[in-house]
Amino acid sequence: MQPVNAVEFDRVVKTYDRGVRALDGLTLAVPESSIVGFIGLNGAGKTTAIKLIAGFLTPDSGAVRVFGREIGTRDNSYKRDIGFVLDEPLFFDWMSGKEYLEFAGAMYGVALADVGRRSEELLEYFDLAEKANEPIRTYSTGMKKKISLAAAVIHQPRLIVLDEPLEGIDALAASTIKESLTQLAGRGTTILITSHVLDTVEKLCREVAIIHRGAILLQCKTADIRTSAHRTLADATYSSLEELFVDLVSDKMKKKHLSWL
Amino acid sequence: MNNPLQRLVRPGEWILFEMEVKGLFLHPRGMHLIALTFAGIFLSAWVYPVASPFVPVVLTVFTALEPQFNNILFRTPREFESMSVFPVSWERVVLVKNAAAMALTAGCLVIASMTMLYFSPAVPNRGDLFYAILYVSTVMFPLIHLGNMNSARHPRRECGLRIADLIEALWQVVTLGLVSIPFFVLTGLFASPILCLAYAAATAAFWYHGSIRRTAQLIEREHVALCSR
Repeated sequence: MQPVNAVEFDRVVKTYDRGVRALDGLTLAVPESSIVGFIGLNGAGKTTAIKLIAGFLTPDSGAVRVFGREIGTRDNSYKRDIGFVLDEPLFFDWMSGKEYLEFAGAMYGVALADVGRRSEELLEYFDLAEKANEPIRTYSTGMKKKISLAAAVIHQPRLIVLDEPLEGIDALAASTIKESLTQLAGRGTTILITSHVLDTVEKLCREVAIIHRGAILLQCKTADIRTSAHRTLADATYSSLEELFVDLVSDKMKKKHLSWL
Repeated sequence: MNNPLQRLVRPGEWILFEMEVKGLFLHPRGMHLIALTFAGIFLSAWVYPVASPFVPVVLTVFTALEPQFNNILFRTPREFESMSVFPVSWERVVLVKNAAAMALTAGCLVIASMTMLYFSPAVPNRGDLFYAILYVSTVMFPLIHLGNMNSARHPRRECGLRIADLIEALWQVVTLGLVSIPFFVLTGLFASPILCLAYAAATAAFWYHGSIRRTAQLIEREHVALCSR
């Protein structure tokens, strides 16, 4: 039997109203129990892809599958298996952190007896216990990201989708988030993460997928970056993901220069 | 075995209900109620020769709670998306949000009555109270249904004290006037409280069996548009 992918984009095309083509035949497979870094420039199509998984958008053509099921807006039961941390954290900011976690747990269908216990553990784990009863709107960006992640894992999802979870947060919060993701990956949770921090992606992810102008340029194991890059760009040698990314993407862009420099 | 209430309410729905009720008082829009209560007290200072002393109470509460009826998906800017990441049944969400709106209306009517009638020169009798309850039961479900449709078709991203909110509040008063017509016909022309009760029951049945499902279907159909608003 063929293993089922946690997420699969099959020749997905998405064009916005203004005629901007955000995804141009995106094909991507995220194998179950893997941790995949989804990287690209601003406007490359990462957030659009994430929004398709969340059901906030529908593709013009092609299909998006989660654990083998094609997703549509009518049936959102597939979200039981997913936890989302989106670029703009989603929550009711007038709620306290504790209330939000209990609310999220209940919405995901976690037994009420477990919701309270898990909320308290998560607040403790993410160093939020002290502010547990304060409204989320008073939290710092890092704390908001942590509470989003806590809400995304409260129901023990099989897949976690994170859109820029490390953006705008301090080193300590970033470290807590990375540590929790490593632990989750260790117990078999599939993680799809977009980030601009390529160094972190390289260390955290087992696989990377580079998206540019709505299509995948390269998908490979992090350990195979060099050999895969060789196949894509002949005679290239790379010491890091960042070097590879810059070379791959800049190769597709028009080179710019300043006349006076 | 679960008791009937436990069977009726699914896990998580109590918390959603609680959050809906709490949300009104934790969000600045709860201030509308206090501001409008002062206006209501001012209106209560007169005797209404042909109408009930409960008129200012009803007007105040239904206007102040307008977002609970007409904007159930977006009290705060990203509330709809926030709910959409959960594997929710929109039918149940609409049901719970409507139930919370009704509970809030009932609670606020009691509190506003106690506050405003204290300042009213008219002393309401049992008949006034009976007709006030009868009136609220006839307008509640039509208002909920129209609010549900409005919430899915013309949602506002947030609720506050902007021009759009004031227009909606005024529109709520006009709608309240329109949905009051059956009550005045049934009590004025037919002088029949029984017919009023039957009408209220029919509107409740329509809400439970029709409005909730239609609203949920509309939300599912407009889901992407609602998310990208």
